[in-house]
Amino acid sequence: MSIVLIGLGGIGSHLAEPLCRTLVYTNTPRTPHRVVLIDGDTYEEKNGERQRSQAHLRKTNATKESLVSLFPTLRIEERTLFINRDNVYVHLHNNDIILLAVDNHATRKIVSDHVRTLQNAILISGGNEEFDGAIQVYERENGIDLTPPLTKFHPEIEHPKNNHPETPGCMALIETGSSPQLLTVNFMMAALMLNALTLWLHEKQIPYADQYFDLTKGIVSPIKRNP
Amino acid sequence: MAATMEKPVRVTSGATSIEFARSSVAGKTVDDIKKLAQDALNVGSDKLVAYADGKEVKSNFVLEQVDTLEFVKPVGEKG
Repeated sequence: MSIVLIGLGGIGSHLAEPLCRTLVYTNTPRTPHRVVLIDGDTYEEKNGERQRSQAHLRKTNATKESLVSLFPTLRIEERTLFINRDNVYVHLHNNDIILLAVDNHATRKIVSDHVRTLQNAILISGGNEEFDGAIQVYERENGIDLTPPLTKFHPEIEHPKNNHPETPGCMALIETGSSPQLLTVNFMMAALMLNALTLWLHEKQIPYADQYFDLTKGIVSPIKRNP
Repeated sequence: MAATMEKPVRVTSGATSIEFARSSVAGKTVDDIKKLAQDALNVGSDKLVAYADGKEVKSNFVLEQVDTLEFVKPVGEKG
């Protein structure tokens, strides 16, 4: 059983350290002590105002390096790659806890579709725009969906407009069409994802499938959905 | 004897929600409600899938006995 954090950008770079701290100080049967960090990207200067770490370093290398000395009791692994349809089954397994902090719906669909093939797994995904965003919780137990897959209520994920980051030219397209992001919004996203995980580690029911927030209005709203 | 308060109909999209009196919603279509709520929920021009009490409904569905109506907002893409 592992915690797999996919995406170490605006959300993931802020989630990694409190995630490890939570694991070290949470003593429940559901708490794993193996953390897998996955990202194929490097840190860029232009994102310095809202991402941890130095420009030009591989996100996985830099994040692992900053965590291993702080949390020596955890087994922390890095995988410098993008998750795609060909490798997803190699990296995500039955009983894994998956935190998905990527910047494209194509990867969200790949991961959600794969989780649907697993007997037991929990997937907590987060994505934001400039001032708002949402987390989604997809949990499977004994081969049954307890909450809906990421795609079920969200056609934007079922039929993603943007291509996978490995598609030639896709990163430039994503960046050209993207709205700016704020540090506070990335923080909020990371906090809500970690909160959902904390509830799950303590064997409490996560009382929502989606949880939206809008920082311009100061609102956080949980939404229950039938699987 | 106090009058019985009718439970309002809750209309949501993303993080935002508003409540309508049942009497003001009954007999109206999903599209009618969307127009009434467009400023409060910021749902004006978006093609959003609607769910009444958790079941997907078309824009011409007439609301009678429902407690909730959701226009499902896309989740954020960036991270």
